[in-house]
Amino acid sequence: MNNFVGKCAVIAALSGLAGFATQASADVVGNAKAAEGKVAMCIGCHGIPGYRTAYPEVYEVPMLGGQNAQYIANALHAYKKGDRHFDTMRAIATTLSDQDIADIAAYYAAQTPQSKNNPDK
Amino acid sequence: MKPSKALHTSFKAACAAAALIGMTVGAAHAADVSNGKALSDSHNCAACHGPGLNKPVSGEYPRLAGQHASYIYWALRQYQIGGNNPNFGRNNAIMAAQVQSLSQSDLKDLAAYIESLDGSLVLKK
Repeated sequence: MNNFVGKCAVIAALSGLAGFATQASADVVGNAKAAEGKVAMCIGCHGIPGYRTAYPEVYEVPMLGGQNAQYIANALHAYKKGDRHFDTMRAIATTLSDQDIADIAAYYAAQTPQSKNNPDK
Repeated sequence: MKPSKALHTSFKAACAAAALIGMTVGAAHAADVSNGKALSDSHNCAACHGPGLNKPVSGEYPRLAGQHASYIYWALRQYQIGGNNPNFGRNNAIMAAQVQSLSQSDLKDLAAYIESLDGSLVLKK
């Protein structure tokens, strides 16, 4: 019974969160082309094969190409707000507007094995 | 059997035994992909992250197949740590519940399994 109530509470909370996220991004449409000039700070780590972080844990930075746009946008908003913790990502995300975040998310989501590397870089 | 041949045979046997011991010790430290698959199935990862963990059912959830194991391990570890620490941790009700009962070596096995999957993630500039 308690378990059932707990599940309902989690579902209700998540529905609320999902609703908020949808609302927040409803008026911003990502433009992958516009992001070509905005990803210079991303590719210094995410564009280098095998690139690893140094602190607080050593791990390979995630591959972003082909990732879901909404997931990337949510992650960037969470870094900006401080809900996700990684100093470098926080520093970068705080410089991004909602439009920048939507553009960058669309840019990475659109990548496939056939995509050319960024012509600006 | 000539003494020299007997010596040779026992030397070979000793080498084989040493190699076997080496393999066993090595295996104890390496991530176990088959345990990772078993954990992925029992925790129903595909219910959200999709078939092959490559087609999430919602854009809110990440595509996982082929992602770097060291990153997946750290992400899972952060869900275990939760959202109360100002420097580490991720706050996500679903993932926190999923990883709560897993050991560090379970997390590494899961990460190795996820990295071993063919997926559509790519590294581009």
